[in-house]
Amino acid sequence: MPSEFSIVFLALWLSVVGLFLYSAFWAFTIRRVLLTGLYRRQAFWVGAMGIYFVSLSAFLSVALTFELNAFYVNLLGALIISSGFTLIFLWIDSTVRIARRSDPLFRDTLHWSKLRYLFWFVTLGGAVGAFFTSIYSGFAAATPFGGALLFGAIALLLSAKRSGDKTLRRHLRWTGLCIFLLWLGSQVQQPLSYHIADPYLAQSLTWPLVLAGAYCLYRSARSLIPLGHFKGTDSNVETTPSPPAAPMQ
Amino acid sequence: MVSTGLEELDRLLGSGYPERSSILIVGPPGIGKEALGYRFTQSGMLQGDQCLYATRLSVSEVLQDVRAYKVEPWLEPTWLASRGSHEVLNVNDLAGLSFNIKEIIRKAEDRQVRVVTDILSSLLMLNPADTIYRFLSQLFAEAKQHESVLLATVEEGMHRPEILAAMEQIFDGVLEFKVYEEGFRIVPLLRIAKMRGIPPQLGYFRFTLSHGRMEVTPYAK
Repeated sequence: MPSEFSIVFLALWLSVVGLFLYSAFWAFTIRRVLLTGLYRRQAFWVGAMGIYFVSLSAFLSVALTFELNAFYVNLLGALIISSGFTLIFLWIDSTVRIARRSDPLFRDTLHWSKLRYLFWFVTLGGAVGAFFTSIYSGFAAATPFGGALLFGAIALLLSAKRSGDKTLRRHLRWTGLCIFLLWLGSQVQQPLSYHIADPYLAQSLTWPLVLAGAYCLYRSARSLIPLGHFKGTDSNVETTPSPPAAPMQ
Repeated sequence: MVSTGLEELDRLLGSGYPERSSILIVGPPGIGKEALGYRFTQSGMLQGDQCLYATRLSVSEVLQDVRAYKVEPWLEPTWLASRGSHEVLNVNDLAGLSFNIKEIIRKAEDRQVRVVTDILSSLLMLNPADTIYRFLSQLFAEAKQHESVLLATVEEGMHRPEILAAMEQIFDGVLEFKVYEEGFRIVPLLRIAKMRGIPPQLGYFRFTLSHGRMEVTPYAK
């Protein structure tokens, strides 16, 4: 029988899913007006991460709450968690490269342009490891993206310090905070699940962190580009312009 | 007038950028400022003008962008880049940079010269603003003695508004790109903030840029 924490958990879960979806909506909306490939890719990855975290949070909440551990559940968990390694790496890679462009000295943070191939290899190794751990020991045993998330947070914080673009700095800070909170959530989830019998209580304690992470992803999506707002009194934007006159030269 | 390389923009400006002018394109990163530079360079190369592309990126990175924007056919201009060019661009060496650009302008003799650069933001961040104003003023003074148009892009979010406002004063023309939020929509807008030979324009234009075509429509909220 569900505990009184089930309502708290449900409210948290709905908020998390809603915020991740809203983040994805803004990222894809902003992507439509961006023309440079690098920035379009960045917006795409923020949106993709929003969608990914919706599917991950849906899977984890259902599977952990109902304590599902059949082979097919573990297989689905293995696919979702191991694909997360790849997605998160692509997200971080895109963000670090964007940050490099906005660095006036064009510095190669953590020698990323060369070491990214090594990190890519390590990430794939992590994905394969998580896949088999999920299959053979259950998806709950696979620590999702511990290393990848933490490394991403470090790379982004360093990049944020070097970026000369105020908007991008905000974006990097929100993204870094989002990654850190999700990493913290992933680290807390397992011990709590082992020590607290009521799955709703265990998740109600973890999900505020995920909710904060989702809010950070939303702020990160909104800070992809400086957005102006129309003011009612702004005559510059309310009048329809006339065609330009012939040049005077 | 010197064609911008985009028919719609030429029409908006009354057939192109003014001769012997310096044009500043201001806007947020990723909005497509570079595309105007690529089109301007392409148009010049096709006409046989002397074109210089000065970039803080490497040649291969710019070419990647050029391909992504589908700027075809692309004839190689003279490069001044951080990597991959005969003359290497060093944003810390203002004197060398000025010398290289002026040499290329002088060598063109009677040919039309087009200089496109994306280094302003880097220069502004590495040097005091006054130094850059002086550097630009001297460069423009030299360039205007020849048939040349200089087009520079600058990132909106990287500098204080007063620095950008002062910078705009030095240029003959300023095109502003903005992104506005309208409910759940994002609207990309363009404004001719200033252009020598054209009365000041108050209005914004909505624009799209795809497959080598620019579509511009007057924008009313």
